[in-house]
Amino acid sequence: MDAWGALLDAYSLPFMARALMVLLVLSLVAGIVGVLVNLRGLEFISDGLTHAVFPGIAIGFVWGGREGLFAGAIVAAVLTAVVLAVLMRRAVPVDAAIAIVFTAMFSIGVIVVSRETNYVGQLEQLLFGRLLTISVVEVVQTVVICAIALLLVAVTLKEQLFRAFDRTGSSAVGYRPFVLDLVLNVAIALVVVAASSAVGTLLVLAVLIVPGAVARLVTVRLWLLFPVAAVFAAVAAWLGLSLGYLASVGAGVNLPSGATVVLVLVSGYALALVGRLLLDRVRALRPLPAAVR
Amino acid sequence: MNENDSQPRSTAPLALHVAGASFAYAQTPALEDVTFDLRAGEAVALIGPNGSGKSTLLKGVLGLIHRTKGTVEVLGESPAPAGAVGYVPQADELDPEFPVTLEQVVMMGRYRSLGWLRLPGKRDRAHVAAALEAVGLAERARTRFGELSGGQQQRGLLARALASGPRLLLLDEPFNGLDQENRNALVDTVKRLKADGVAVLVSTHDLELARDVCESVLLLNGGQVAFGPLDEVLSLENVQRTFRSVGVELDEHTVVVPGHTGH
Amino acid sequence: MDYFSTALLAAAVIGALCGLVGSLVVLRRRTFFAQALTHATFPGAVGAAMLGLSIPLGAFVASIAIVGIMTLIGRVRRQGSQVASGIVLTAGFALGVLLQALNPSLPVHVDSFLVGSILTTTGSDIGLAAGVLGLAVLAVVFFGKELLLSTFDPNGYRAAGYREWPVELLTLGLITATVVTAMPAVGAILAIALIAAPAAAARLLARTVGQILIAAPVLGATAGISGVLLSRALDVAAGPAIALTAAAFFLLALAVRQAPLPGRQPPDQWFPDPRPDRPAGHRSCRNPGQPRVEVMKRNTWQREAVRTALSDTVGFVSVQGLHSRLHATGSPIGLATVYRALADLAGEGEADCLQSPDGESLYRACSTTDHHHHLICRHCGLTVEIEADAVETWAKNVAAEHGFTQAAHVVDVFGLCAACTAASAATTAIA
Repeated sequence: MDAWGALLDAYSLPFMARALMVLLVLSLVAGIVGVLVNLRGLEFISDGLTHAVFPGIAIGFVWGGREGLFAGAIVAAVLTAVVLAVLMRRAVPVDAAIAIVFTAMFSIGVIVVSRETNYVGQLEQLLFGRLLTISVVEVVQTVVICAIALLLVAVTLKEQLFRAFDRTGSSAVGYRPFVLDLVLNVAIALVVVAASSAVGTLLVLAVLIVPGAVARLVTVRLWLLFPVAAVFAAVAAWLGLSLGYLASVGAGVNLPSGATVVLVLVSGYALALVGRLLLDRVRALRPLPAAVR
Repeated sequence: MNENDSQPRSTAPLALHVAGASFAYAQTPALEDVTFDLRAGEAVALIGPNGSGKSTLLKGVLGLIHRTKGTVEVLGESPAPAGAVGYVPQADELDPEFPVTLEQVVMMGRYRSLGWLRLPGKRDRAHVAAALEAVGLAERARTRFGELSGGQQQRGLLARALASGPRLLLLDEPFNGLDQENRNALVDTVKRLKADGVAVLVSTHDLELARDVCESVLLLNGGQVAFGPLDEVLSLENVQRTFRSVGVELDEHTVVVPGHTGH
Repeated sequence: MDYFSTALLAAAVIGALCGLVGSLVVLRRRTFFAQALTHATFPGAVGAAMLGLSIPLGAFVASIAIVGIMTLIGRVRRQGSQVASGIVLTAGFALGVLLQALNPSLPVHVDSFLVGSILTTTGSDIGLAAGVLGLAVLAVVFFGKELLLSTFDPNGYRAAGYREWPVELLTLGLITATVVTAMPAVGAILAIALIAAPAAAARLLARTVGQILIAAPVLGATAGISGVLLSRALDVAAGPAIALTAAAFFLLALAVRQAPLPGRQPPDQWFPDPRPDRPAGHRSCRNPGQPRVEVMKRNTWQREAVRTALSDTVGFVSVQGLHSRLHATGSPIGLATVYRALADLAGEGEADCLQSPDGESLYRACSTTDHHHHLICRHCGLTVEIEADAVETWAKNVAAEHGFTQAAHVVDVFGLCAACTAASAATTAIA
């Protein structure tokens, strides 16, 4: 088993192809929703959402099994998004309140799962995903949910950027901040739902935060942020999946693919960070050609 | 202008009509009982100490805070017709690291008329170029907003308001901390806008600026102290009443107002 | 002692610790930071279990590494602390899962790291928690006023000549130690509820910091004990039960606070001072020379920064001068804001304002509100407050001569101070 085989041939296996498909769709979403999360500074809110959606996933899972999971999750996601939009309307980030309330909701999810048999295994699956065992139905569900999230954001993209740059200015020309916040929150929550069965609730946050942060490091051009984030996420997903495959087939170590994908994402971030710091250092040393005022 | 004193001062249509309006944040009243008119092509200066309600009035006209009573009509309509009002915030409230170019900031002024989902086209780009030309920043179009000087950012935000083609322009202390060059550029732009029939409401500490560009002055201190033509309203007594808590009286001709240098 | 009593004791000690240190987290607005830290302990704990080391030790080492990385990322332009916390948080989880997958035969189940297993705590766990609790109490008793001042008014704290890092290090150390010791009870994911909720509830109900520091540990311990009792009564996992009880306390406090009590103003916002750097209704130290905290009227951090910088300045200073000083200390404040804040301070009598000979407005912090005059150096701005009895007498006499009553005057003397005179003499001599 060589690296080349892991990077290409592995995807002729149907389960690997399905996993890659799901991750590529998520990358596209991360490129757009994730950049907005970064520009709006909603990392903490997103973390709250991932926790708050968990009881929905747990209840959906307990009632409807693997394929009923989405129904419960979507209900929880939309509810949470509305609650958050109401909180954000107060124009103050209520960080302690968000942490407390959403951790409490997470606890409810854990309690629901803890009453099941094989509690530990199922909890792990819900938290960390099971990328390699998702079914065709789940792939379709993921794609559809991501498409809705993308549509929501695409329709309001200009307006979201305006609000991110200048809250007062954007309300002054007549955009309703509550509507924009609600749309973005619902989109984030839908991404959380879509990603939760593949990479798991806890690692969704990486998909939402890391590509956007990398794009901010790489470019200061607004419209480049989106493709940079999406392409970075897609490449990381591909490498991460291949790494997991290589480890299990080549070395006989069974690594959870969700975790390898996240680790590749974070390593990519570390590289971008070091690169940016070095570049800034070099620029600072070299005198500017002409001091432009 | 050879105007007869017995005639109304202007026959231009009303751009902004505020009658007996009071505004409040949550439970706290912020500004009580304001009444004034602003006609197309004219400018009103809002003058008062900090916390006197200048920003509150601007936000009230924009409909961003709750009006507890009275009327606010823009071009005879309430709420204001879409796209009629342009607003210029203070540049130092924005994130200097935000990845946008000056051009993109100005383009935001076109978003409202574009509607959801549509992307800017040739016409919008022409508007943006014209607005940048108007504030004298055409050659900085591709510069990142955060890299501009404070004065240039302020002019850029004015250009954003211009790009939406407003009939009424609201400026929130646009001249604070500007150097002479930027100040002159802003004053020129505002004068040209007025000549084109745009009504301007500007809050400022700068009485000299009020003299330069405004026909009328509205003195505020939690409520309306006085409104009227500049020469009549800027009496020593009125200014003292406005700045009663903060003014320093030098002699019977001069009141030193903090934040205002000279005269 | 049977395992259930041990669990109750552990819940009480850990709850009290979380409440006490949680007060610092909530007051200093470090919730997301603490959250990231709790999550990041997970790989440390798994790693320690793999190597057969003590789990709190592994979690502690991991936390130290995490704090370092977060501090680094937080300082990079366009990244900031939220991004730092988010990245570290998810990286920690991914690493923990991988480590666990690499060693499937671990004796400890992954869920006990995540949601806690208080029923299996040992005497040494309790001993550790009690030790950390003791340290936290000592820290609050001995460094209380430094913690308080640096939390309420970081600029004033710096201006008073304190260094920032010892207090920062102390709080970081306490938060880290708490997160590590709380893991057995509530796990990596739920710990933040036990840390933030009692403190936030206390914050809503208490009037002073002292009350918060007492109420929060009591609430924390109560949440711990009731959580364990509830988990037995309802047959659910203990960690989630504790977290839910703590959250219920917070919601209860919120409801109490929302209900208008007779004689109390309805709160204008339902959670006080939550903005990370712009506290509303900020309490501040007016004179940074003495750590005396008093309640001021509504203020903004910008204004505080201007006030502090002004009182640090010797003599009169122009708006531009003060702005560039603030910038030099790394403050992002805008020129217009400095301008407005100075005008405000002058308006409220906290600063003197005068026109320089070239017509520029100059400001200076007032040290006294009594009537006095100034000697002002035209060159360096050095100002000396002078009593001028001769002027007072002369002014009174000259007014009386002309039949004036209630006479007032402003007299400031401009000149070159001794140092500038000497310097200018030296320059002349060289030239």
